[in-house]
Amino acid sequence: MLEKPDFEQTPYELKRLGNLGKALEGYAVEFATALDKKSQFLAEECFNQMLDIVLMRYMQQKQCFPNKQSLMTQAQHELEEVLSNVFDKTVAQRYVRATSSEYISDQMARCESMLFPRGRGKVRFSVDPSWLVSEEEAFSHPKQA
Amino acid sequence: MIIAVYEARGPMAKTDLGKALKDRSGKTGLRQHLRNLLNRKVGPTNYNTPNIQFFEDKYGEQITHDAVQDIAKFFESNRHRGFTPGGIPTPYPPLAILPRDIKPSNTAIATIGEALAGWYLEQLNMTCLSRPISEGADLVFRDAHGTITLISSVKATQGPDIEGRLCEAAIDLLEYVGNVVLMDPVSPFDCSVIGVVIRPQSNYDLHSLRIEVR
Repeated sequence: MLEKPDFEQTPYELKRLGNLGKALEGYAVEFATALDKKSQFLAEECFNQMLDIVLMRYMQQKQCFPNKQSLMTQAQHELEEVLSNVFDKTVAQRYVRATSSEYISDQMARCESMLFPRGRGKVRFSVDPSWLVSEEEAFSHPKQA
Repeated sequence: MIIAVYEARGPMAKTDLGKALKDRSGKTGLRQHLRNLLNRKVGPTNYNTPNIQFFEDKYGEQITHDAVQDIAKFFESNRHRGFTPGGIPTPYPPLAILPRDIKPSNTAIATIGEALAGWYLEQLNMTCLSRPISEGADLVFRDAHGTITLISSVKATQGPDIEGRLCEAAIDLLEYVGNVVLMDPVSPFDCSVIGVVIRPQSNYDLHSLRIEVR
């Protein structure tokens, strides 16, 4: 068990301790700050962590999605909601890029190949998204032309 | 129980990094440059071994319970001529498993390495941002001001030639950092390969090879 440190915890520590809500907010702040500083690498890293936490929460809640697309759409919606909620109106303008649907869509598209690797590629997120998709979708055959 | 820390450090221009990674001769030159840095390493600086289980829980990729004892048992077993399948040391090899047939737990080795790497970077007043989802690095840390991002790879072993392993790991990591730099040309990055050598009696050597990419 991790000992609770006696200082304010980082998003990394919060995630390791299982405090997913606070970790998600922490990474949202880091994501927007990284964009503000034009640090693309850190922004993408924080976005990856946010998506990882959303998938972990779906797993904890035993949520099942009818198909991959609905999983991606719901995850994007949740991330947009977190990002718009974490900033109050006084600072939202500064972080407008972090909260724009278009930018978040771009990030989700980037993550899709990591979420659903072709062939036997390893999924490096904490939760394999195929676990969250119903069996029917997992075993579905491609549609005939 | 002691951690002996050796540190090697040097700068590298982003443009030079691109040229060095371009082809085989570039990588040969880069390998020599890294070897030269390691030859000028500073140390050892000795530290008392921290609570490794705490840092295993904090930084380990895999779950372990008392990896230190796991490795200690391996070293203890190797002191005897052999031991029974039940793990009892015995001087009678025909009934025993021989030490050469026993391998240490790779999970324990890797996790101790990650734990000590995280501990070491905290000693430098750095804070962990994440274990990256993408392949290429083990840990991402930032300095106290949040200005320098340190991308780290960890290698742990109880075998020889840690410096050779560090050089090869550094080239792989620099290729990853090279791609990061293309994406993010403005921010300063440090590329850090940390090698942990696990010795008997829970003593460790920690070798840090740090390249400041500017």
